[in-house]
Amino acid sequence: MPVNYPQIEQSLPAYARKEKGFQEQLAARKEKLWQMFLDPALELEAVREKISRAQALLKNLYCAKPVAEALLTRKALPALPAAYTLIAADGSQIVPNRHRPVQFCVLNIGMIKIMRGSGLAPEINVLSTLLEHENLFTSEGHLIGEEDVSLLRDLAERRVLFEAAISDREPIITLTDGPLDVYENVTTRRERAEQLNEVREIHAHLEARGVLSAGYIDKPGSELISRMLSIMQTPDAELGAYDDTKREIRGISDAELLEELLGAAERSAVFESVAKGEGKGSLNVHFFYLNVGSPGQPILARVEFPGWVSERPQLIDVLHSVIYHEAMVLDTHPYPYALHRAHELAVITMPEHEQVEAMLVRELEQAGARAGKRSNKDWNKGLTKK
Amino acid sequence: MSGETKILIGKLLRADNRAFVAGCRTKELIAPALGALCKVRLEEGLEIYGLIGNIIINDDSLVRQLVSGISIPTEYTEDNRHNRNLPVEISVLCVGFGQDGKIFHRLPPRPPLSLDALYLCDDAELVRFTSAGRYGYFRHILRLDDQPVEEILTAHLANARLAHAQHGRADWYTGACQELIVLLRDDYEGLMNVLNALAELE
Repeated sequence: MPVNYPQIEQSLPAYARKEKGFQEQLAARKEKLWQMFLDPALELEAVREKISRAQALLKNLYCAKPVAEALLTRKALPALPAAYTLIAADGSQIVPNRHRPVQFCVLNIGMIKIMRGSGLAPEINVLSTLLEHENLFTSEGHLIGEEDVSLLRDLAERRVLFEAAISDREPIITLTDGPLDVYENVTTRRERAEQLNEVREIHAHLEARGVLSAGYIDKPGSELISRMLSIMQTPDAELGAYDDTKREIRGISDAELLEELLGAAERSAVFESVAKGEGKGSLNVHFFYLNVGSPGQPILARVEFPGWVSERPQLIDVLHSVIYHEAMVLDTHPYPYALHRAHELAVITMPEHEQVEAMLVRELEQAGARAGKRSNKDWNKGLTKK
Repeated sequence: MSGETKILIGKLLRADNRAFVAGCRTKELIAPALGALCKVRLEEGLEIYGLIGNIIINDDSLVRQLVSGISIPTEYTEDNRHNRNLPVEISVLCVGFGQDGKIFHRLPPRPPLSLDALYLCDDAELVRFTSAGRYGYFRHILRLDDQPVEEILTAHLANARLAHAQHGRADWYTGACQELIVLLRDDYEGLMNVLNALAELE
């Protein structure tokens, strides 16, 4: 049965009316937030000092903190280095599914290494890993889920970048899709702590090599600056009791706020991502917003990088220009070409998924091991899809 | 088995008795040219000969997006040509086959199979194939109604003329032209098209 379109259609006028009202409220909130952002009293050192105090007082905090540039900073596009190496990795996965005949997990990482200025075709690679059987289950005996597999995939991406980040064409920039740090919601599992430690170690080694690692967040929805402004509005005496759930202005992302400020190709000030509390990452992450849109049509992305990069402004310039130009290769829908290609290399299609499963079933049968049966629910769902 | 033809130019995508299509990567697209003689060796010793009648460069949504962009740095062009899985399609017209050391200008008994290798014939093999019989393979070319017959003929004859001249048979080309006039005697428009195109070779 298809969707009952007449029923949906009946609901549309009321839905659109409410949405319009909501958007009007948001516009008013955005204007209020913008005025707060323009407040001349928000001096760099005052903001830094107050956010630091909140950091010390609060158990949970996720907000922006300016590093060394004024809040209203807008930096023009610096010159592109004549030569550099850009390496991007992206992953996809087959998550174990108890409804299938065999439970297995595959991590597929696509990597592209572009030596700009060489005139050569980039180096590409796909690394496919069948997860060891003993890693398919939690210590409680349950099959691992999406979140566990995502963490393993993120770790695998970073391993690939670490291995590839050797080049005589410097600077070397590595790029991943999404936040630079890896996040997780549950911290009780020892294995996860080990994986997070490895990510930290990889970043430490990359720093030692002087490799600029960056995460690119397309259409960012976070409200880090909004939280920062909210804390600035909180009287000092009440800072220890700050509750983000009671924040007055919600729903305005940093990108929506800064699109008023940044012209095409410009970046914002550099901020530190203050992330404190359970499930928050452990890297010292800094970021700026970058307008990859055109005049009158801003498109803001967030670029995250390790805190040590901020100590060398010329490296911020490298990230700014390299990532902007990379997104401009696909200028009708700006997004870094290298990330798109890494994704294209990594993606596992359904026929490939089924092929790997068939290979595994064959191998199990040859080894005299038993392959289970597909669940009836899954089998019948398969009929619907045909 | 005939002489050395070592230049691999593609692998078979699809085929029937009259024609087949091979695919290769863009970076491999140096040797194949319109009108070139090529062949596929089948396992049982059968060799199927064909003339390249068309070469198609495929696209996809990423290439279309890149094309509409402002400028594409060299490395990104090379990525699309060398790394991405977009085969160039080489359409080949069957013009004969070889078996037990003999050349026949008839259609092959069966088509080649998918993933069979397509090789470019060298000058010696071009001379050997085109010397067999009396230009019998021309009828396969002249039968085409959806491809530029005169262009394929001219490209092929230019190659064959040169190869024969280098092998001491300068009269081969004259014989080929006379045979075309005979074959097209009832098709004035077709004959004029072919002769006009051949005039380019003079």
